[in-house]
Amino acid sequence: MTMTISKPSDTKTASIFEASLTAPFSQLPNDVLMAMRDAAKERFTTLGFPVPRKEEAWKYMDIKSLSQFSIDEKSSGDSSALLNMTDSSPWVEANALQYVILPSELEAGGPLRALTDVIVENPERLARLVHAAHQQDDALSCLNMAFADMPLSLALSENEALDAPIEMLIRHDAKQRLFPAIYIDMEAHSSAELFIRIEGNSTKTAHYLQGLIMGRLGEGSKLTINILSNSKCDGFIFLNSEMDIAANAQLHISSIALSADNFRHRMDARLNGEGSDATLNGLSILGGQTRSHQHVRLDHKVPKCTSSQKFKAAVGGEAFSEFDGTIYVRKDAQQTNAQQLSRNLLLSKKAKAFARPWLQIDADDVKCSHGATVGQLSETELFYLSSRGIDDDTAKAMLTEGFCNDQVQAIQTQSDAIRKYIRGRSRCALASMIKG
Amino acid sequence: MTTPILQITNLHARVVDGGPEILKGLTLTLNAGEIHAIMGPNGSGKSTLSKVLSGHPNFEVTSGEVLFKGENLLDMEPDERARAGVFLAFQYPVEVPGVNNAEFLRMALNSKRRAHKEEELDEKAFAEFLKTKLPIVEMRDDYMERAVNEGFSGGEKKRNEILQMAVLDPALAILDETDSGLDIDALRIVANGVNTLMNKDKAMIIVTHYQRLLDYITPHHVHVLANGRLIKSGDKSLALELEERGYDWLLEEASV
Repeated sequence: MTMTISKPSDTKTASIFEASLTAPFSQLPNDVLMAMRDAAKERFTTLGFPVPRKEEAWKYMDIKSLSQFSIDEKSSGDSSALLNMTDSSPWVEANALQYVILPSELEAGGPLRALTDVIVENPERLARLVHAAHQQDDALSCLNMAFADMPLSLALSENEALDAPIEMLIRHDAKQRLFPAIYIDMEAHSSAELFIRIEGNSTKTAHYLQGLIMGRLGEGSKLTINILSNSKCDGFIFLNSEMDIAANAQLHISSIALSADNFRHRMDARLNGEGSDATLNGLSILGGQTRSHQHVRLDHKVPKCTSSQKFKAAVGGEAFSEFDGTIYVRKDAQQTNAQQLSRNLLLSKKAKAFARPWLQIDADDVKCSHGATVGQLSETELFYLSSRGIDDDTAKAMLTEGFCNDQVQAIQTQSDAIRKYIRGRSRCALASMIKG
Repeated sequence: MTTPILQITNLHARVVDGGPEILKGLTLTLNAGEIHAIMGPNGSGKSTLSKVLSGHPNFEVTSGEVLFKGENLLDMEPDERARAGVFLAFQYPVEVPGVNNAEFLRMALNSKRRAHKEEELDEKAFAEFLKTKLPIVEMRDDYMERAVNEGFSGGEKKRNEILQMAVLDPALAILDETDSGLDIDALRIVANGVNTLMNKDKAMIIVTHYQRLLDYITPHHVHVLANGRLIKSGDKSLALELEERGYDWLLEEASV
C-alpha cells in the first residue's frame, strides 16, 4: 500500500492548467476532424488533467511550472521556421523519407499524408477516431486529439513494405505549444520504420509538447519506431504511444531521452492477436536538473504472445529518472511470455532513479519475469581502467557508455546512419553529463 | 651507475581506514633487464605488494619509499603510474561489460601517447598496430570486438592481460599470479608472450605460487615474502628448493 498525500499546490497547478485549457476549447479548429476534437474535449473534461500524488502514474511528475502555460496564448514563434532550418542538411539518413513536422504542406504522393485529407477521402475513418476519443482513458491523449495541430496519417496497404525509414523531425522551439500527432494504420503484412526526432534549442521560453502516436498493426505487420528526444529547451515533452497489435504482428519501439527537461513517454501496447510481439526499449541519459519518465503498459489480451521491455537510465547531476512498467496478463492469455527489466546507474549523489515494475497476472500458464536494479559505477572496473592509464573522467564516460551500449545495439533499424547518429548523440549527452 | 627501474625501501602498507598492516618493511631493488620472482605462503602480502605498486585505493602506505626510475611513485595516481610505465597484470582480470576490447586498448594506448606528447592513433591506425601485437599471445582478432574480458575463459583473460602489456609496453610489469588457473598450453602462450616483451630496458616482478611458471620464464632473482617482508632471496634454485621443501623451514629460520 502506498500512502498518497494530496498536496494543494499540485491540485492547484493542475486546475490552473486545466482552466487555461478549457477556455480555448471553444476555439478548436473547425475542420473535418471537428467530431473527433469535440469527443476528445468531452472526454478530457471528464478525465481532467492528472494530479500528481493523487494518481499513481503521475506520482513522481513535477508539473508545477506547467501552470505558466496557457493554451490560448499566441504562438511564440513562426511555424514557418520549422521548414527554414539553417543546417545545410538536418537529416540523418539520406535515403529516408523526410518530414519536418508541422510542415504547412506535405508533399503529395508520399506515404505520410495530412489526416484531414485522408478523412475527406474516407469519411468512415472519422467514426473510428471519434470512437477512439470516447474510449480514451488518458487525459493527455485527449488533449492531443482535441488540439492536434496538423495530424498526420501513415496508411499502408496489404503487403506494402516501405523500403526506407521515415524520418520525422519535430522542432518545438518555433512554437510554444505543439500537439503533433501521427495515426498509423497498417494492413496485413505491411512494414514500416519511423525515426522521430524531437529537437529544440531555446531556453528563452518554456515549451509544452504533447505528442500522440496511435497505431493499428494489422495481422503479420511489422512496425519499428525509434524516438530520440534531444531537446535543449526548458519545458515539457509528453508523448503518448498507443498501439493495437493484431495476430503475428511485431512492434519494436526504442525510446531515447537525452537530457530532456521533463520528458514523459507513455507507451501503451495491446497484444490483441495470438502470436503478436512487442519489444519496448528505453534509454535515458540525464544530467543537470532534467527528468525522464518512461511509462509502459503492456497488455497481453490473448494467448501465445510475447513481450519484452528493457529500460536503462544513466543519471547524473540532480537529474531524475523514473521507469514505471506494468504487464497485464488477462485471464485468457495463456502461454504468455513477458519480460521486463529496468536498470539504473546513478552517477552523482543527488541523482535519483525510481524503478516501478508491476505485474498483474490473471492467467496460470505464463512466463513472466521482471527485475529492477539501481547502482553506481563499479570501483573495481574504474580501478581497472585507471590501471591502464585512463583518467577518471574518461573511465567514467567509458563505463557509462558501456552500460548504455546494449540499448543502442538493440535499436532496430535498416539504416546504419540512424544507429550511428543515435550513438553519437548519446555519446555527446554522456560526455556533457559527466563533465557536469 | 644507472638508475634502477624500481627501488622499494622499508615499505609499510595497510588496508585503508585503519585496517591491518600487511607490508611490514619491504625492501627491493629491480634494475633494468631483471626479472624478479616473488613467492611466499598465502597471506604473506604478495598481492598487496602488487596492488600498492599500482595504486589500488584499498591500501595505504604508512611509511617507506618507492621510486620508479628515480621518481616518487607513491605521489602518482594509478592512471599516472600506468602512463609513466607501470603495468599490473591482474590476478583476476576485470570484466567490463559494454566496453569494446579494441576501443579499451586504444583509449589506454592513446592516454599514454598523449602523456608522452606522441600522436594519438585513430581507429584504423590502431587496428594496424594491434595486428602486430595479437600474435604475441596467439589471440584471434574476433576477441577485439567483444566486451573487455566478458565471457572470456580464465586463460583468455590472462592472455588479454599480456596483450594489454604488449600494447602499453611498460618499463615495469608486475604479473600477479598470472599462472593461476591456466592450463599447460595457455601457460606456455602467456610465458612466451612475456619473454617476447622483456628486454634489457625493462624490469618485471612475477608473483607466483608455483615453480612451474619459472620453467618458462627464467628469473634472475627469487624472493620469499612472508609476513610482509622479504625473508630470503636467491637465484632460480631457490624456487626449486621451495617446491621440494615448502616454506616451513624458511619461516622457522626467519622466525616469522
